[in-house]
Amino acid sequence: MTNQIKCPGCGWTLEYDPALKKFCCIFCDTAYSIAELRSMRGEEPVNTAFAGKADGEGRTDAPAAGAAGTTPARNIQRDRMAMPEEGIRKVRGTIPMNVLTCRSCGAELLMNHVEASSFCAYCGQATIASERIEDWLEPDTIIPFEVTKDEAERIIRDRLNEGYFIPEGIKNFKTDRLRGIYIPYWLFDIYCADNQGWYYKSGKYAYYAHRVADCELRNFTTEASARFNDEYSIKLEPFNTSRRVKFHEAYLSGFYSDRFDVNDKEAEAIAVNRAEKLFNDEVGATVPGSRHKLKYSGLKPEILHEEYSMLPVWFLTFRYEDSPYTILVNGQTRKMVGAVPYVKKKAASLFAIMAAVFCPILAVVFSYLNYLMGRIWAMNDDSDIPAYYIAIIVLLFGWTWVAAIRKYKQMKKSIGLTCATSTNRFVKERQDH
Amino acid sequence: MGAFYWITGILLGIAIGLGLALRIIVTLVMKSNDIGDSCGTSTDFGRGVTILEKKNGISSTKKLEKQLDSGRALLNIRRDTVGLPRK
Repeated sequence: MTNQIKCPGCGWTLEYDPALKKFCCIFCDTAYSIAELRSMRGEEPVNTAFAGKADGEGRTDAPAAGAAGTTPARNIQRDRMAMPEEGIRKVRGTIPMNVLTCRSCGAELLMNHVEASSFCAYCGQATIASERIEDWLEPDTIIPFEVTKDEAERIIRDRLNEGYFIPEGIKNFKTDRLRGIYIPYWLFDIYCADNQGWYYKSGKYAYYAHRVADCELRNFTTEASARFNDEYSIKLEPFNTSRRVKFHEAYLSGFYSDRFDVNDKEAEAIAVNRAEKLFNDEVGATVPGSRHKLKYSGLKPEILHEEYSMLPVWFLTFRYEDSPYTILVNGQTRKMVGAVPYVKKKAASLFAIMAAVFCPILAVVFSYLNYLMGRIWAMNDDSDIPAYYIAIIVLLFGWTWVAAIRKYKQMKKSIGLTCATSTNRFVKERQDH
Repeated sequence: MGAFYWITGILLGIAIGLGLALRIIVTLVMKSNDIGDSCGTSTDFGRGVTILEKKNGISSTKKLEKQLDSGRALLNIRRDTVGLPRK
């Protein structure tokens, strides 16, 4: 069963407009706020905004400052729900798809097994799979899109045009698809309290440092879609969760959306691991000395609150030299994620120029320094200066070669992520309109 | 012996000069072509969390905002005794 948010004036589908922050009808040019929409649909008026209440609704306050060891009451209302069993039919031979019916024109609507909203391929109207949302655990909150489709494309084009090493073919890319998709996330409040012993060295002595610490992490985001690449989702963060609002299915109108397929129990484990690492890093940063080691810890982070939320992301896909590329824009903060190939000729010529400048200068410098070190060593073979000289050379090798290779590998990885077919499929395998 | 110093000096200069040029070029290409957060990695778990304040002696008045106001973390750390130095 599908649902569409209809315009009371002309009967066409209303879509959420990020620029106006209202639900607009493209036919009769009218716009409605969420409060007006609720009253038209005969729904109870609710306070939708979480503004100024970053800790959300009905949540317990943070533990008292300095109260390490005291654990606030757990405030999870939700029962863990099992994934629904559905009659899934294989369509297109790729991923399981369901066939639903458009309420406006009666045409068949293909949706994959996690999609919650899409568009009808025939009449182009925004369609919401309401039953799926109701049956599969309705999200608590949503961050509505704040970036429009045109703006998303413009900021990507502007950024690509700035790049000196970006090929012209990419700078003038032809957009294949640009889709706004609500990605499911779990937001956790996590409480960490611990009594830790650290070992560190300072000079020729070793020390034990003792730390008692507690910490509450609020709105710790963990992505809840198995098909969406985790590395991408982490790079897209952070979202400004203080601007999230109470969920209403009307916000999905005009955008694609997926429901979670990583359940809260699985996401909890990921969030707890991240919280542990963050907590230990923060406490470790207060221990003197660079070489410190955690010797004992009894840290067991506790989940205080969990929330199912939908967060906005724009996906832009294009092709370059027969490879698909997907660039992401955070639909709230405008942060972009992606990397594109570089013009090898430009990079090689610049490298040759720099090498031609640096190599002779450094050859002369090191030859002279070698000569000096030889003289020092000949005069006094107990001197530490030649040993320091060798250490500096080793450090220079690390600073240049090792760092360059590490950065190059990171760059290759980012490009690989941008042209990953799995991300492209995540965007592509949805109903066109 | 003098020739040895000069030859090793030239080789060192070439090796470090090439490394330096490579490092600069890779940094420039990254800056130009990695349009996302180039320093982000999947193990960067601190992302998305804001440390608002630290109390009890450590940066108690300093407001540390590591990231955009996406989430909050209140961190209280109490420094206790540091053990006696030992060999």
